[in-house]
Amino acid sequence: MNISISQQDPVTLVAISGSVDSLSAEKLTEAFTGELNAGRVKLVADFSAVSYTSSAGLRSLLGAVKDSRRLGGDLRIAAVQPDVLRVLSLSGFTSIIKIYDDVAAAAASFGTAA
Amino acid sequence: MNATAHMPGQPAVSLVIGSGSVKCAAAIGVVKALAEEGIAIERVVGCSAGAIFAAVVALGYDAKQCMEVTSRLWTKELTAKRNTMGMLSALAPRLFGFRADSFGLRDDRPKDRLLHQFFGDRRIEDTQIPLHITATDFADGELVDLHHGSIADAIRASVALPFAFAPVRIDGKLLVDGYLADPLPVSVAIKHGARVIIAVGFESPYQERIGSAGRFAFQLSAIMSNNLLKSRFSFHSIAHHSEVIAIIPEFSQRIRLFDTEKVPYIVEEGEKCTRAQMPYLRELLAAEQAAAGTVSGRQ
Amino acid sequence: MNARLSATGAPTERPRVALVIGSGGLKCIAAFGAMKVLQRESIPIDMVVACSGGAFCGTWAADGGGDADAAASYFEKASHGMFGRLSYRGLLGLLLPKLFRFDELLGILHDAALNRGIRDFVGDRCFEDLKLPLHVVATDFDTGEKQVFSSGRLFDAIRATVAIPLVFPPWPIGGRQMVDGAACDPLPIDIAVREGADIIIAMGFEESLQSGSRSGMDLFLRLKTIVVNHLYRSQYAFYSLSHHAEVVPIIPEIPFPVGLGDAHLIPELVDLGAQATEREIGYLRRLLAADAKTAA
Repeated sequence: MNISISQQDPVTLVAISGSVDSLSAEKLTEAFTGELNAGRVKLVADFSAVSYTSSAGLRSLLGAVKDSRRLGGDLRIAAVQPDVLRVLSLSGFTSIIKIYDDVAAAAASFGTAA
Repeated sequence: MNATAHMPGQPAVSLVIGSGSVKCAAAIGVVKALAEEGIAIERVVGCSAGAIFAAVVALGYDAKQCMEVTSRLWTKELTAKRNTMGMLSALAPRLFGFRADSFGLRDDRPKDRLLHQFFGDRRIEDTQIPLHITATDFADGELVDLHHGSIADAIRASVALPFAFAPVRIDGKLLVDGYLADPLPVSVAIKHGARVIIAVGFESPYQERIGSAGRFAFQLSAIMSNNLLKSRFSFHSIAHHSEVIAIIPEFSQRIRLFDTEKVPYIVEEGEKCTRAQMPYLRELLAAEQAAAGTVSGRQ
Repeated sequence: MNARLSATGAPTERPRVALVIGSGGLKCIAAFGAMKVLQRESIPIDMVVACSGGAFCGTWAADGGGDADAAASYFEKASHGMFGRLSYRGLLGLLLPKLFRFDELLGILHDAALNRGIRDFVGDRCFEDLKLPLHVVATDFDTGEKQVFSSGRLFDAIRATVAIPLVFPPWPIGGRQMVDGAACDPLPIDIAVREGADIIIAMGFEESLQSGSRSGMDLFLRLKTIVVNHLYRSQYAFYSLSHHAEVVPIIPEIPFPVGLGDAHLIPELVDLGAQATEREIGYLRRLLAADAKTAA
């Protein structure tokens, strides 16, 4: 799994590629925690290059969602591939996390009804 | 004691009212207890009969007005008339043309008339407190969050209990009772940025004696929806970043569908359950306010 | 993941793997395809949990498995006639309850052939006779509670968990009427968590919604499908977030409707089960390899 982070004020874009699973969960948690500790709480996760998600990977992602919300922000997900979306839906994530077709829409969502 | 919209700086909660027929009136007691503590409601979500109470709370009615509304809306007239055609089509589908999109054993008209008389042309997007009403998409079974449009129509869809009432078409979608997708749709509040959530839910009663296919179906549906209630609630509890406080009144008196004379008792139970949670809720909201805007709020 | 303790407290050198097979009527046969792939990859299985139709393959897997294709064709032959015969007494009781006395023990299908089929499969054997621990989930029809069977006669547990309400009569165990486990726990991952599994391979099936509802019975089944699907997804969501290790879902995509009597679809279902498992096998392999490394 690779993570690249860029600032697109007012949001922080976290582009993830590869497999979000138990072998990479720690890395993901560290990346999100780093942003949140720096006060960047409006996060958009670009999932366009995420090929696989496992339950341990999703637990790490949920931790970041909850932390950002506690801090008054949110973690929103963009451009989810169909196979990954199936797992997100099965795991209940689509009912509690805002998911957008692309990064632009996810970023714009913070401008309106945050 | 109005259920007031949330002012900046005032402690506030999101309120979710689940399905539970006349028992949903317990929400009035919840609203009363919150108002007396000066706790505002910043968002309200309602499912099935809970949608009726969610709507009146969103419109800014206080507990007393809510009681009046209940006695006006919750009458035997609501479902008294049988739909003869519906009966015949269920017994002999080929002969009388069974159509799932219009099938109901009860006549919808009295219910629709009452709801339209009461809510008129009021719209979900115009309420004082943001309102969400949930229904189930009959085509794919998904939960539908109605966040705009006619309040009366949204409630009609949310309470469209299959077999009793016909589905309701909104924005091209055929909708039925929201309880099929989630009897206590806390997820809607979470998704829209809720902090502390008060979730008022009800378990479906089990049949004492199963003497007909109808009762058998009721029993099965109660088993499944109670299990769904529990598992959705478990998921929401661990998925939410803040607190989800469950208010699940247990009634010692058996409450049947049209026990409107029991409404004061139901309201009282709702109020009692809320007061029991009040010390913790007060503490929680105080801590939340102290932490607001500071990074130290992280746990 | 660090060194672990087995359920008995003794250290084991590898993670404990559970196979969970959920409800899904005849679709559950796809689990034989999954087993083929798991066997080929020598994925060890330490316990099996099953619900409803999953109990057939679950029992077979807990008995040590063997030739999955042969087992699937056994069921292809055995299931002919198992779901065919209507019970007119049951139907009349359903339609005219006053005249023909409806009682909850009725189903619209005769259960004689079903009972014979289960008997042929397990005989008088007990859970204790199997090579692996097996847990079968059913629903207590009076209280709605989940009942887990892990000992005693296999016949009773299997017959109870496949008692689809209104289709087959409930099955009494210990004085309680048991019905289909799908009504309370369609994909019982929780039992595997409770029994101390680390890696949980969860094979689940979402029921497809039929396009038309041509009768009251169709409508009833449709509503049941909607609620069971939500229950399945919502429990999966909760269980997978609550588990300390990994839940690997294997969800075959079955693009056609499968009725109880569609025995001719069995070979195709086995293939679809194998395909769905192939999609997860890479991750499963890496997971077991990583675990073996940290445990060493």
